[in-house]
Amino acid sequence: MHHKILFRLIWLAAISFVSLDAVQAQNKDAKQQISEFVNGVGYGVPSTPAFEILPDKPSEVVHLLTPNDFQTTIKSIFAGSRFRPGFAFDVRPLSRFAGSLERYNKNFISRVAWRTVLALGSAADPNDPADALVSVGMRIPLIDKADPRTRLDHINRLEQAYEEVFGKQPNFDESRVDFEARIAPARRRADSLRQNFEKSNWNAFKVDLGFAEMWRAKNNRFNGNSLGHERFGVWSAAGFPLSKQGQLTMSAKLSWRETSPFNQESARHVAGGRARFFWKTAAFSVEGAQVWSKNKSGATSLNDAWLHFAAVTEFKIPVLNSWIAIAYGGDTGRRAGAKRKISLSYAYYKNRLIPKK
Amino acid sequence: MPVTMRAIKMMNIEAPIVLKIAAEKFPQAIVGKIWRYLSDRTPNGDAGRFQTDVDKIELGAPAALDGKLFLVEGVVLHQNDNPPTSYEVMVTVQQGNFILHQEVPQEQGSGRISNQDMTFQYRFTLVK
Repeated sequence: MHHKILFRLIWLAAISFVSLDAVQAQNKDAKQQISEFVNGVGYGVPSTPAFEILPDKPSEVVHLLTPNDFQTTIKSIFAGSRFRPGFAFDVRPLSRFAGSLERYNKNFISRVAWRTVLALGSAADPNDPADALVSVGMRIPLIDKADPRTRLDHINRLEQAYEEVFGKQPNFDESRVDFEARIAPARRRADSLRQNFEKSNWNAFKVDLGFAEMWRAKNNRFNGNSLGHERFGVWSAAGFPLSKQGQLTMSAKLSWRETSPFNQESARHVAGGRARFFWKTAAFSVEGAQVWSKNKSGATSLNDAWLHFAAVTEFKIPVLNSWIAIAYGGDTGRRAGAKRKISLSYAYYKNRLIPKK
Repeated sequence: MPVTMRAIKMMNIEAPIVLKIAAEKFPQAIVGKIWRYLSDRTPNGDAGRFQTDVDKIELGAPAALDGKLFLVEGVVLHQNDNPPTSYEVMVTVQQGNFILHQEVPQEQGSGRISNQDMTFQYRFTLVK
């Protein structure tokens, strides 16, 4: 009798365990699918286009500002006639043309010159370690209504934050350390104002451009015979506010791959838009994009085009300190790939999936 | 670190002394104060306040300023620049339209700024 009860208990425990495991695996798949709906198509210009097309994004980027920075960096990159892959640096190449804040606010060219960032990076080719991949790219923010430099009311508030610390006359020989200690409360006040400014301007009107080109450097050499064109990409995006909670992003991306293997994709172009709304305990995202995939092998039958669509909504469940999402989407008209069908899915998870960016 | 102070010779004319503190090379916002001291370093009051759009401060007539010391304390306001940007603050001491002295403060008058406000100091004395 006891054996029978024990056997039933073990059997029930095993069934429960297997079921829970199956549910968790299903939830993991659904979460991944929803995450792909949300992040699968990029609708903005990458923060650094040059690093976007490298196989591995560099973990450390050197910011060049002075001629001395350039000299030191160039020296550290080269070893004889070869260079060491893995370097990454960025620079604002036109910043010298920006001028004062007054000029910046009067002159469109001055603003574009200041915001433009050029980046150069490299990585070892994962398929052929003897070669390195080198990419150069530029990001050009043409319009940015959230640029704090253009908001003189915000600048005045920051200046006012320091009013109090400048109220008492210090000793003539006050050290810089003492000066820094005296202004610490004002620094905190100013940073709090900046956070509020960012919060209230997160979805301000923006127009960005970006491009990047990547070459293969045979045997890590930079000379003309060793460099071969590999990839090229162009991005453009515009962001518009939709009330205080929402943002609409329209974008287009063109990318080409010069040395793609036979019968594989050599170009992909994407054009589309996305609207997102955020509340404290909920978010909603809807997006649609047309994707064109071209094949250089001449077999036009391998070319493909499809419509990507996704609508995702997520809610916070405060009692469980978790989020739950319901998503509907996929790719229609696509010949190949697991995501070719439109489907409905749901999942629960700890951290929100729809990013506010 | 010893405090450095610039001695600036005034011209033998009546035109008032004007101090200009500006970030003209790069679009940065600045704010700060100018303090006046007697020759023995006793505090002698507030000589003026500067900010991005108010960069010229009249210090007074040359006769009243002979031997006085001045301390400029300022802050370059960061705008969360990523990648970091350059800043440069130029201090110009004028008498009327004549430039008596012009320099970038050695104590952090130039450099890079990203996500922290940068402070600078400049000390000078005016002599006949």
